[in-house]
Amino acid sequence: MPTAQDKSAKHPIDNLGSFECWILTAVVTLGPERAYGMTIHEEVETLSRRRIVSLGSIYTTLERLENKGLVSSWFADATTERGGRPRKYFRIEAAGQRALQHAVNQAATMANALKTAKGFV
Amino acid sequence: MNRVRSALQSLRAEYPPRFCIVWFLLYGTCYCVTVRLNHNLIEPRFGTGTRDALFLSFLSCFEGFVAACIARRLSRTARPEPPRNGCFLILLLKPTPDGDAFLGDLEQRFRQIANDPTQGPVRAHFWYWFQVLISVFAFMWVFLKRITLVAGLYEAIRKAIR
Repeated sequence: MPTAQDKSAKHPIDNLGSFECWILTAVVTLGPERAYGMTIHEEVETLSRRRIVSLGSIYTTLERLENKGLVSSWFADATTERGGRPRKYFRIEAAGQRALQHAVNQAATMANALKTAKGFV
Repeated sequence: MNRVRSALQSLRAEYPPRFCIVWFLLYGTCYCVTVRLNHNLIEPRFGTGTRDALFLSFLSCFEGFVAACIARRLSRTARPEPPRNGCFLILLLKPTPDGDAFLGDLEQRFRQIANDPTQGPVRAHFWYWFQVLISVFAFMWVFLKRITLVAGLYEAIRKAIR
């Protein structure tokens, strides 16, 4: 079973989709103590200014990011307010930070290029 | 005066505002459909007469009865508990422990909305079912990709291009 480090060494920088970027940003802004499904969902809704975001798509994207080795997860104890179900917390890994930084750099390069372009508001 | 007050209280208990709103909306829709039906189908064929008026009155009463039954059912089923059918549907597609964590998140938010006096259990049920239905598509897509090996093929092409 390859570890997250093995996977990140295999793929130094992974190109992220827009939704993946939003989710990684939410995981980073919330921090490992507060980043679980529902809070990530609310944060993505706030940051991306989308009215409707499916919680299922958040979970499937987080699972994909975990398989790529960009985030890691662990289960906390079950609580009564959640009907005795546990929380799954997420934390960004070094590969995830690199990928997010790469996406931010790409966006900044695009923004700079568009600033000089004529006819683009 | 006390008798009137107690009668009003029992009426309010029997017909809560939510019931009245749902009944009004359902009955209003039925009434519009009936008027349209009368205008397009009944009047051109039979003309306006006593028989038609009686028929339409009977139809309206029947619609009101059906609307009241549905509204009563809706107002009684809006309990501050998450719907079990939704949980079952999710657990079919997303097995534990991820499915459990997902349902826990849904339940936590459901209780927040249900206990909020400005929102209430009806909105909580609506939110819960809406999230379940849109999430089912996401889970089903992952499941289909897995069983049809589309994901493997996609990864192979991606690696070949890189």
